[in-house]
Formats: sequence, C-alpha cells, structure tokens
Amino acid sequence: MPATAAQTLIELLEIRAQDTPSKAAFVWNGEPCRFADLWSSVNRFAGYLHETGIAPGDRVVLALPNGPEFFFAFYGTQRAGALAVPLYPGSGSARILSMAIRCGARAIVVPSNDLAARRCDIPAAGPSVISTSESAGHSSNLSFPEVRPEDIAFIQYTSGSTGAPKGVMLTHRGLLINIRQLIEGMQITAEDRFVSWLPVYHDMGLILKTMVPFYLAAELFLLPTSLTNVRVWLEAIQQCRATLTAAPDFAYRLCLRYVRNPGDYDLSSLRVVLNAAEPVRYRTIQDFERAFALKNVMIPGYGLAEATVGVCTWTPSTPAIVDERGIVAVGRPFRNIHIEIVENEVPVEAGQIGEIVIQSPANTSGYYDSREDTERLFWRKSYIRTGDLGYLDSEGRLFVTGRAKNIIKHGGETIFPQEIEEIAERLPIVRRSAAVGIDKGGAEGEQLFVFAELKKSKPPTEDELYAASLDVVQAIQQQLGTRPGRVYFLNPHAIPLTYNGKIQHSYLKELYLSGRLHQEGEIVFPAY
Amino acid sequence: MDKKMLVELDDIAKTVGLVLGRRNVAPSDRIFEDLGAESADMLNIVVTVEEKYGITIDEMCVPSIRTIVDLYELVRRTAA
Repeated sequence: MPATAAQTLIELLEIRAQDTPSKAAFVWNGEPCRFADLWSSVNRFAGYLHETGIAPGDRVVLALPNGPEFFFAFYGTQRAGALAVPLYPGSGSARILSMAIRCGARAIVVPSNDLAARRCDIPAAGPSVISTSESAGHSSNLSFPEVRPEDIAFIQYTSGSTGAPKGVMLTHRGLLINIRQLIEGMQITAEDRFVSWLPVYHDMGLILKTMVPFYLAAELFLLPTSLTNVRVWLEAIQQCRATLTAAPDFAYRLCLRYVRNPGDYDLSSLRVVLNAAEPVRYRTIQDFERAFALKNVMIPGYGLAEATVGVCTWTPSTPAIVDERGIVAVGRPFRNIHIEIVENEVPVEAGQIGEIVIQSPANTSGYYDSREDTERLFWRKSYIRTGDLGYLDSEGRLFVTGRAKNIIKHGGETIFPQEIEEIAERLPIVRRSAAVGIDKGGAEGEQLFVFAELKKSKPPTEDELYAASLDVVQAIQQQLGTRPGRVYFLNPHAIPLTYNGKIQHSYLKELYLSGRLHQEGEIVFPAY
Repeated sequence: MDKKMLVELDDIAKTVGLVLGRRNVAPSDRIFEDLGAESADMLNIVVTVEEKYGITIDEMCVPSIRTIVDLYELVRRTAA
C-alpha cells in the first residue's frame, strides 16, 4: 500500500516500516533512526502504555524535547488509541502538572534522563510520570485498538484569549489532508532533504518538518531547538545539502545579525526556505537572500493550529511580491481551502481589510473540553476565525496586515496579553498590568513588554523593584518558555483604560513608542 | 556629563541579569554558556544597554561578545 492510501498517521508509519524499513525516518545527532526501528519502538511504547492501564481515549501528556523519544511516545500513544498532548518541555513541573490536570491526562511522558527528578516534583497521587526507556523489553506484538481517520491524534495547546490555554483537537484525517496540501502547495517531493530545529512539540515543527518527510520518506536532519548558535543550523544545511528548511522571521534576522561572513556558508542546495508563524518582513527576505546568495527561495507562508497548520504559502521559485504598504503576499490558499475576509460578520470585497476566516477540510472541530471557545471559533458554521486581519487582492492572494485581537507574536509563539498579565499581577506590589508587543523595527523584532502599575501604598525601593522584575521574567520564562523584552513598573493609573475599565493595549503601545510614558515621568523602574 | 563615567561593570551585570531573569550575575560569566542566553536574548541585551546608555553598538562587534566583561568593555568603548 502506498503512503498516499494512508488514512491515519499510524497506518502511515506501518506502511513506511513495510515499504522503506531501512530508510532513516530522521537523523538525530548523526544517528539515523530507521522506519523499521521507529515502528518497533512505537509498538513497544504502546504495549507499555497498555500494560500500565492507559485505555483508548485517555490523554497522555508529552513533555519531551526534540529527539527520538518524542516520536516513540507521540506515535506510541496514538497506537494505543490514546490522545497525545505535546507540551513545551522546558516548563516547570508545576505547569506541566496543571496542564495534565486540565486535560485529565493519565500519564506524563518525560525524558528518560529527567525521570527521577520529575517524579520527585509530581505527587504520586496525580498522573503517572513515565519515560520511553521503561518500555524496553515490552511486547510490541499486542493487538491494538483500530485507529480511525476521525479519531483525534493529538491536542495542540495554544494560548487562550481569556488566559486559559485552548487545546486544538486534530484528527488523523485532518492531519493527512494538511500534509497533502502542504506537499502540493510547496511542491515537496521525496527527493527533498529537510533540516529542522523547530520544536517537534509544536505544529509547524511537528507537521511540516516531520510528518511531511515521514509521508514522503524524504531525508530529515533534526536538530535541538536551541538557537544559541544559529551557525549550527546553517552548517547543517550546508553539510546535509538541505533543500527545505522553515522558521519564523526572527530566526532569519538572527542569522543576518550574527553571521559575520555569510559567504562562508554554501546554502545553494536550498530550494524552499519557508518564513512563517510570525509576521513576515519583506526586508528579511531581501536581506537573507542577498547575504547568502540565494534567489527566490524564501517563501512567506501563513497558517494556524486551528486549520491543522498550513493554509497558504507563496509559490516556490517565484519572486515574492509586496503591496504599497510593504506587506508581503503569503500566497493563494492550498487545495480545498477557501478564505473569506469579513467585517461585522459580512464578507467584504477584494482589496478591503477585515478578519481572515478559513474553510478547510483540515479545520479542527474545536477545542478540547471548551464549548464556549469552540462556539466563538466558527463563522457561518464551517469557517474558523483566525483573529488575524488581512485582505485578498483581485487575484485571490492573501496579505496579512495585522491582528484583530491584542495578541503578541514573539519568537514564533502566539501570546495573549492576559496570560502575562496574570503572572505580573501575582506580585503583591502590582495593582494592574498590561502586556503588549513592541516592535521598534530592529532585528530583535516584536518583543513582549510588560507594564505593571504599582499600588498606591509605600513605593518600593530600587532593590525591591529589581527583585520584582526578576521574579516576573523568571515566572514568564517558566510558564511560556520565552523571556519578556522588558518589564516596566509604572505609577498608579499610568495604564490607559477605556471608559468601562478595559486596558487600552494599543494606546499604551503608542504612549510608550512615542516616548510620552518616559516624558511624563510615569516610568518608575528601570530608568531606561 | 561624561558618559564614560556612568558605565559601571556592576550595572552591566545587573542589566543583563534583568533581561535574562538571573540573580547574582558575575563579570566573568559567559552570557550564553553560563547564563543560558539564546541568540534572541543577546539581541535584547544589546538593545537594552543601547537604550540605557543612549549609544548605538556596532552590529559587527556583537558576535565577539562572550562574557559580561566583554559587553562592559564594548559599551565603554562605544560610549567614550
């Protein structure tokens, strides 16, 4: 049976193990993991889950970084008929446990070398803490429940607009549809060679950069997610003669800023360099291609977890286009995806800006265990609301102009102000706070800025404010895996509010960027 | 006022600490290896000291910053 006939991800892996058993599914740390070995590890882990009492429909949280263990656990969970819930593995144990409780998970899978420490952190009465190393020696010949195309393969958590994270339910059918849409839209073939450092626990890294190459049995060189040294990525592209890589805009800006002699790298093997998951800057495309002597390889793309992942990308090998405002076209939607632009619930004409809504056979059916959020997600029943603003030109090409909601895009992640504000407001000295995305036009891109109003009572000392700032930075890092660009403490009442008491995020941003917040002496700490 | 006088090693260490959420940053600490910074954090560190001292750091010098002392010396040279 060819991969094109696969109806579930499990069927796909089984086909791969039969048809291309000795091909590497991926290469990690120079070690290939063959499809045959991947399949037996997946079955062993599924057998282990079965023996520990995990039943079909149960949720299993994965707190695993890039590496083989992720794939054994991710597909092993699905093989056992359970739902995988990948989470950011850098979160503290308390955060992982609270997310596990939120989705009613029966087990949390952690890296083998972290098992003892995590077990100490997580109370024995809660979900069991396990690792793939424990599945060694388990039988992989059990008969597992049949996995159907309409079954949920995994739940992708995204930030929630009310501060509560929302779990996007993704089915095997939707995933395979989107995999095929991506392959067709980006003209990917089995001859492509993928290099990726994107997190495998997140949609673009997981679906585009691992499921697509698995589907095609294309070569995949997987790297750790750390971007401490962008040279590791560029060297891997050069050494592996990669044809396809993907990242948010900021990662390409990092390359431009940190690589002193781009000419030292030969990236000429690249055919497609996807720039997505963050607003795409035309300047990044131009500068990156110029610096690394490439032409028409960086393509902008657009997508979101609620549509599985990919919605459209620019056509490879054709020059990017920009409108008069400097906004880059992200292309026409993939096959069977329909985009409408709506304002006040009504579709608008070509050229007019409104909220982007999407109809796709790969759309999610909604959020796990959140009927209210699910109801709010849909427009005219079959379209999902993206929360992004944009327009379609007369040729049906999409331009993304901004965001309908006050969401912050930082390092490829979507952050809702409320979840940051909750963290800042835990400090006893803070009366109210506002989180906004600040983009000063520099290479650092949009940064998360936290503005916290102090309570009226006795003003804290400089040392106390310093310590409080550190607390906020650490708490945000713990919870979201990202650091804020800056934390400011302001005078009481410095944050602008609407007449009915809502924070005016965009006005606050304007006050800061215009320098008025500084001029009016509203900033208490730090002095810059 | 002479800007050069205002650049204190301890201040630089505290500023970097604030960006990275790290207490007790020592001058000899390596920003990536010891303090756990990623490339994106380095950009933020540079922007922050630029704003703090009202200077513009030459982009070409950024890749050579290893430790807090390196950053301090670069800021001092730039502010001079």
